Amino acid sequence: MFMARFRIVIYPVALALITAFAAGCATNVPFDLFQEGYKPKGKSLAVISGSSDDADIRFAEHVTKKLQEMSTLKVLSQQEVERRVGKYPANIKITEPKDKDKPVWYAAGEKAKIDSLHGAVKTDYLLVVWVTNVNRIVTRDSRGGGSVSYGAGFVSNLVEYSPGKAVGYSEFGRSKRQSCFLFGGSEGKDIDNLLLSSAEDLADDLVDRTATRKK
Amino acid sequence: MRQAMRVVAVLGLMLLTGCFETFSLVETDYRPKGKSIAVIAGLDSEANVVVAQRMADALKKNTRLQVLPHKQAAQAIPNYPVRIKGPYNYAFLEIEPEYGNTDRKKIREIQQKLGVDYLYVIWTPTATVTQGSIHQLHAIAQLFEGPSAKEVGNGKFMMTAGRVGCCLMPAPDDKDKANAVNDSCDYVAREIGEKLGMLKK
Repeated sequence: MFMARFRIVIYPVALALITAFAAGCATNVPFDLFQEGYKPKGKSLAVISGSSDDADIRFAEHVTKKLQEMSTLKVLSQQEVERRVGKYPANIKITEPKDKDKPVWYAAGEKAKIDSLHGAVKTDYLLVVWVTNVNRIVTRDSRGGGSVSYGAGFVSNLVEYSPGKAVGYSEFGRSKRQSCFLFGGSEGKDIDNLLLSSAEDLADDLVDRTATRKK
Repeated sequence: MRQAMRVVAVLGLMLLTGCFETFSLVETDYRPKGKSIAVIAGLDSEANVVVAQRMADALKKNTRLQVLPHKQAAQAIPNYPVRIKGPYNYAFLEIEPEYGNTDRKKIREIQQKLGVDYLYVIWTPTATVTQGSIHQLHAIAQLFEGPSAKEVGNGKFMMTAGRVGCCLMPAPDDKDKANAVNDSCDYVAREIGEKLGMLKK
């Protein structure tokens, strides 16, 4: 009941796995299209937060701002998305994709929600984003020292209308060391900076792949 | 032996609620004005709505407050559950409270629709898993008074399911999580009842 997805507090046992993921040994696709050479026909896009989790909402905001800066597409602000949709975010459940090469992250029964969102925002594309886990990695060395890092995983789907078909995706992880002098400061702000730089990576790849980079 | 049992009980409760001030009054010498109360979810997630329902039940069970049934409150608010900007800056691994951040205009609208003396709004913006077997749902809440929705109390707590142990310790199931929510809501409801002088004897 607590959650479909969750944040993780990790101790050294999982460090190797996380480090490998963040370092790119696992899938590292900030954004790619399913079909090489695909040319986008549409001109407008809305970024959709996959859930009402704080991480998803903030990541959607960051991706929106980065795309507004970098892309020739008309990207709706999150305030405008909320105004048009009314009940937003919509809590779109994610699932393990059947096709690992062309991953569609939303569960089969969730497509209707995405179509309904499109009916309200009426853009040519919806970019649905999820932060799959935010984690704190604590390491301790034999001399009593140690460090703290944060990691997060990100997935997305670009859905084209009409007919409402996924044409692109993201699947990547990023990590960062805790800022120096954080003691007493905001850990949330540090993690938010990780979301911001990850949003920039996603937006950067998206404008490249869709050939919509501002000159 | 009894002393040791007490220590274990206190430690268990601290783990359960996350060692936070689960409910405190904004003004320490506050005197309650009225008895009726409604509990609503601040976010539209399923978990948040369940916690709001359980908290309404817990307040009814543990306090002398007249609790508006959650179903009735839900029916009175158009499109409930609605997302209300909550009292925090960030809520990734932990909730970082900022009680001034709440969308008070929306709270006032809801309070006026419900017409109760008090409105207790609870947000559960994040959940965490530690070492695979300790699942925690993080909550933050505010208590508002009257049609002007004056904030009179607030608090932050966690609902914890699972045990610390070896790496083979199984993850908690849905029943464990439901029990964690129920126990935490009972604990917080008693805190609210006590601080408002409305605790059932």
